[in-house]
Amino acid sequence: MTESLRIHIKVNGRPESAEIAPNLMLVDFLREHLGLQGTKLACDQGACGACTVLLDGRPVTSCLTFAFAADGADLQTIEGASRDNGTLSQVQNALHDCGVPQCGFCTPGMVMMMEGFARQDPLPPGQTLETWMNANLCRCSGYQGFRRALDQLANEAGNP
Amino acid sequence: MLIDDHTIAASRRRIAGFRLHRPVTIDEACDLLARFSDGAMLHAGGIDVTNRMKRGFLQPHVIAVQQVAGLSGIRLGETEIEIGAATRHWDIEIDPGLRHALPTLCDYVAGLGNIRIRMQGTIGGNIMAAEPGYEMPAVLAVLDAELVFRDCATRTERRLTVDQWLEIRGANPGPLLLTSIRLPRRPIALAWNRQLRPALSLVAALRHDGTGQMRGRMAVTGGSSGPLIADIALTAAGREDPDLGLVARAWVDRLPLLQLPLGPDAGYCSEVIPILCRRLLQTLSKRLP
Amino acid sequence: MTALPNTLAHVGRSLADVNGHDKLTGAARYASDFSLAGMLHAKILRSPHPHARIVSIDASKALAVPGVVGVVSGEDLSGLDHTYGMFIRDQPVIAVDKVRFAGEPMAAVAAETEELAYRAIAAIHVEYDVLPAISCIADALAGNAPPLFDGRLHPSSLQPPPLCSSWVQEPAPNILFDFSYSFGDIEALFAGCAHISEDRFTLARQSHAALEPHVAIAFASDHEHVEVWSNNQDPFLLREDIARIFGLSAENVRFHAGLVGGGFGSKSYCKIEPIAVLLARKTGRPVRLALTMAESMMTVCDHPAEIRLRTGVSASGETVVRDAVVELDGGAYADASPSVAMRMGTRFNGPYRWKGVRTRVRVIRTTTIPAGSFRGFGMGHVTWACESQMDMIAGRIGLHPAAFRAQNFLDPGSSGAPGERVLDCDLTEGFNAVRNRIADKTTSANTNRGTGFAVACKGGGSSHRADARIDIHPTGDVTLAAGVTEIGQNTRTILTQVAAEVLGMDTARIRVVNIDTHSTPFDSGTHASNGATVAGLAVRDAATKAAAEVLLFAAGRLQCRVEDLSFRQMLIVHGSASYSLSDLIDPTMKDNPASFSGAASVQTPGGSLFWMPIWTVAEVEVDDETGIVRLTRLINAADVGRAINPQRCISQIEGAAAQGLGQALFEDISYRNGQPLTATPLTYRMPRLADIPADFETIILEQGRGPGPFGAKGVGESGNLTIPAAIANAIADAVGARVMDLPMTPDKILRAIRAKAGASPSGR
Ligand SMILES: Cc1cc2nc3c(=O)[nH]c(=O)nc-3n(C[C@H](O)[C@H](O)[C@H](O)COP(=O)(O)OP(=O)(O)OC[C@H]3O[C@@H](n4cnc5c(N)ncnc54)[C@H](O)[C@@H]3O)c2cc1C
Ligand code: FES
Ligand code: FES
Repeated sequence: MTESLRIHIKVNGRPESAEIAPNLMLVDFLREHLGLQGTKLACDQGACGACTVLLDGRPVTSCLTFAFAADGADLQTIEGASRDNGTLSQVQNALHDCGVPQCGFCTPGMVMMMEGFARQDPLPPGQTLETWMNANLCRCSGYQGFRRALDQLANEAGNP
Repeated sequence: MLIDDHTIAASRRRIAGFRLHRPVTIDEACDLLARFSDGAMLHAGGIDVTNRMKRGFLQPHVIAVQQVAGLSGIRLGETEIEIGAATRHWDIEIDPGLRHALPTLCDYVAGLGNIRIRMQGTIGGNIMAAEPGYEMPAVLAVLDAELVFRDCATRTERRLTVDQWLEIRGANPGPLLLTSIRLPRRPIALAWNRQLRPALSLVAALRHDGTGQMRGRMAVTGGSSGPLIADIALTAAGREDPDLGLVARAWVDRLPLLQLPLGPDAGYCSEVIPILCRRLLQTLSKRLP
Repeated sequence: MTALPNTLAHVGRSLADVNGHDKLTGAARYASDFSLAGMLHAKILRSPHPHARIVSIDASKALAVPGVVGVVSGEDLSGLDHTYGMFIRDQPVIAVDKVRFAGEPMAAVAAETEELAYRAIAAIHVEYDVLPAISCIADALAGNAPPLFDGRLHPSSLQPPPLCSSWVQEPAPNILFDFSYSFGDIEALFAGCAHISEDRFTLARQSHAALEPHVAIAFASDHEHVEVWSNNQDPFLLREDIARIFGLSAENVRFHAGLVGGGFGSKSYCKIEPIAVLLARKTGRPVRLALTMAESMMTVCDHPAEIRLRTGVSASGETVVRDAVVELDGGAYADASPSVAMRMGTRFNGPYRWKGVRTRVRVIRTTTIPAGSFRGFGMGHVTWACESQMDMIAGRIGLHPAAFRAQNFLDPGSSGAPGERVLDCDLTEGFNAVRNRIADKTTSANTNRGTGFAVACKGGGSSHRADARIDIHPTGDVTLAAGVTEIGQNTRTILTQVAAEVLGMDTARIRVVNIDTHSTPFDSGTHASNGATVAGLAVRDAATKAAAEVLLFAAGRLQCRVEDLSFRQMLIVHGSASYSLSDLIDPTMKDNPASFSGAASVQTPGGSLFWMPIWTVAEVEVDDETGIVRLTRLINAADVGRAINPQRCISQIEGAAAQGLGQALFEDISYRNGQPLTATPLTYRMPRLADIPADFETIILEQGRGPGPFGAKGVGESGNLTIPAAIANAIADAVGARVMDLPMTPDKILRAIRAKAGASPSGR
């Protein structure tokens, strides 16, 4: 029954082409086909956001997205979040400064959510990063570290 | 559909192979839907389809409609607003034209679920998923929207009000493709309360009817049969017609709340629905100049 | 934060998590990222019935699925010591003859892919003879309740009861454990009390819901050896369990543990590992058993409970005597329940002075998810009931709840009960730290706004052994090995700071290695907030010894006395000269050490090693028409002895507080008809960012009396304990209605408001 299909995806700027089964989930394509294990799988139901990646700039749940649905897309994962020279991005730095990672399992998804927000240009009215972050679960923290990081980012944006 | 069968845990690895179809026109999509009827699933944003497949609801054919031309996007007419069925929530909340024409709908959608869900999920998927807690049918009903379907068996278009759709949807209406949602373009105030979601979510709309009265509709989402909807009116003197308390109580009786594994019991709902309804109406009457 | 003066270089600084960079860039690897060549994938078939006899299992169709390599069921356990449990071993690795909760493992399959494993378990046919379910404590205690076990005692490793207490193992088929504790002449004391309050409180079933589900990868190279990679919090305990179950020598069982994606108690003690080992032994191939999060939620949870408290106070409001009767819903199997019962049973005195305390804690068996250890180990239960009742009593006797508490706090240096460790903190100071920050309701204009206090004091660090080894390499790098698992408490960072402080070196050159039970020093498990304290002492001592090794070697090379040398910044200083380690290594000599090692072991006695006090104020706004409550402010203060890393202390307390907030307002795996309704990540409501009040403050106090390195003590389990009671007290302050059942959902709050409107004003 399963027919394979060929997809073309840009992953962190690198073109990838693969023959995949239609039932392959994007998270497995990343973790198993491309070996990009930074994207985490936690709930496998769309509830937690640990598997968040950016699909054409939009944060989506890679455990609820078939790989075929990413055909032709530009995909950003946690592996592409740091700066090209390997140092932390502004978002990652803020999280680092604010002592955010505890167990770290939610962290890649949280980072991608924040990177996705930073990449919204122009930012539609009424959108705040705090409400975006409400999408993702962290069971270790009380989210205050994230709030402190948001404040830091806002300050940095205020006085560049 | 809230309770998972835990005998075999839900998992993406339970999704057996399927045949993928990626039509690019409405006709093509319709052909496929008619051809495979019972053996196919439509996949728009894919949120519910995928979660259902993870729980073991599998079909040999999956028809992905994300690339179908004309199925997504927002068109503003003189008297009507048309939203393509495969338009994502996010694209509704940020559409500049819609924000101008019907800003409260943008705000309503912006408060739905969470950003990941709105970035991926579609308005059509929310309606057609027919899940008890999903809110789009209610808000569209109070805005007097019409659902435009393509009947894939007869190749004809069918326009149904949300109320009509809710009535027939349980009775296997055949292979239907929702193509768009049409809303009247006119000044209208909208208010909602989501504090008790997913158990209860309320929404109400009110507008001047030209005769000195304020007319509108109110809906409560929560029961497993879809939203309960009622017409409401306020006289210029602020008198309710019909009595809101009675409407609310009638709803309460009809809400099969015990089907809900989440949230409060029926007794509680029957107490608070009238209160929340009245508050919504107060907000609305203040908002309408 | 109220800080101690700090002249230290590393201790007291908020060093970022040593694995933080990797966690932020996606480079961090967890057990769920681990794979072995030729690995099979396992899936578990679970029982749909809460209680049933297994008539037959037919796996032939599953075995016929191409790619399926092995199937195991209860039959495969014959000849094995096949049950486990922390003190009472009543839980079979896979159901044998009978199932006792919906979701219990019935069979497991190993196949070439996870898809095939799923297909195979769907093809297993089980015939059940369905028996009545026991969904709650009341059902279990009803006269007609079906027995879950045949009444024979299970093998156990129960320790003798602590002072003033006694226990009975499995006194009845549906009662797992009956624990009693008492000091003082209880009835005589009650007879002398001016006021006696009797109240009943309940708790719901909270799920740990750690983000990384349980995973175990097992490989049995031959019949005598097993190697396992898992995210269990207790690799060394598990080694013993696996050895016992499979009849192996512990030296032949090797566990590996790296970063763990959250635990909170859910990954303590034996869990899914034996199933992975069983399949690995059966197939001869490496087997990966990865649960989904929903399956993890069905593996273990916290105890629902009923607590009846009778408390007597004197006319002047002195706390005199307390009698607590508790029923814990332990679920189908023991897991850590006896231990939880013992811990909570000895702690009903809380932070106050009593002349007598009596408790009886019974663990009841039901056909629900086995309950085990959860952050706080029963202390959250105790605090919910006791701190709610403190406010109720204050209301009844006309005292301000804050004043009532303050007047009865234990004094520093005094002991709350016979044999109990003396108080190593100042309760009054901590209480004032939060009390002074919030206005009482009387000063607030909004009538539906209220504030509530709660205080708790949990013991930590008891009966724990932690070993550590420090290797100083000639390059100036240091390897730190200790058996504490890193589950998000950032212990690796804390231990790094301790070692850096002792060695006077840069933290960046210290590497903490993953755990391998073949080479990592022993640790009796990541529990009871003991990482920083007990392992911290072991690391301190190991580092001291390693530095001594360096100096001994240097004295030999420099031909001087050890006392004339010092070791700072990886330099050996001799008078005005200083040498690096490599300077002293003469390649022409034969006796150059590969590294300088120091090893240490710390064993703590039974009973609490230190106290983790927590003081909380919550402020709420209640909609009295709907019962919807909004938490507007939350302030927690905790004494950490000495904050080795203030930011990590704050994170622990904040994270715990969020779990307490969830427990207070919505978390609950509820059951209907024997089936769990909300045991999935989509249906189990957990705190999100928007649930956390913007005004949320954590105050770290350094009262300086911790037994750990540099005066530190644990902080991991205090922040959640007080939150439910503080919120309940705030609701009562706001609208005069008292909720005594968790979670405090709007319907319960509204019912309480209605009940108050209809009843006479009896207390707050
Ligand atoms: C975590 C989470 C939180 C959520 N919170 C909310 C919330 O607060 N409020 C709320 O209202 N909703 C909420 N939702 C629901 C969400 O809005 C829907 O899941 C989403 O809109 C579905 O859209 P989709 O395109 O992904 O649907 P799909 O999964 O693609 O489709 C859903 C169903 O509709 C059918 N379908 C799709 N398009 C068509 C069409 N054009 N014609 C005919 N049939 C069609 C499919 O066959 C399928 O049966 C939440 C969902 C999740 C997972
Ligand atoms: S793992 Fe995808 S949302 Fe939780
Ligand atoms: S850091 Fe553990 S879940 Fe967020």
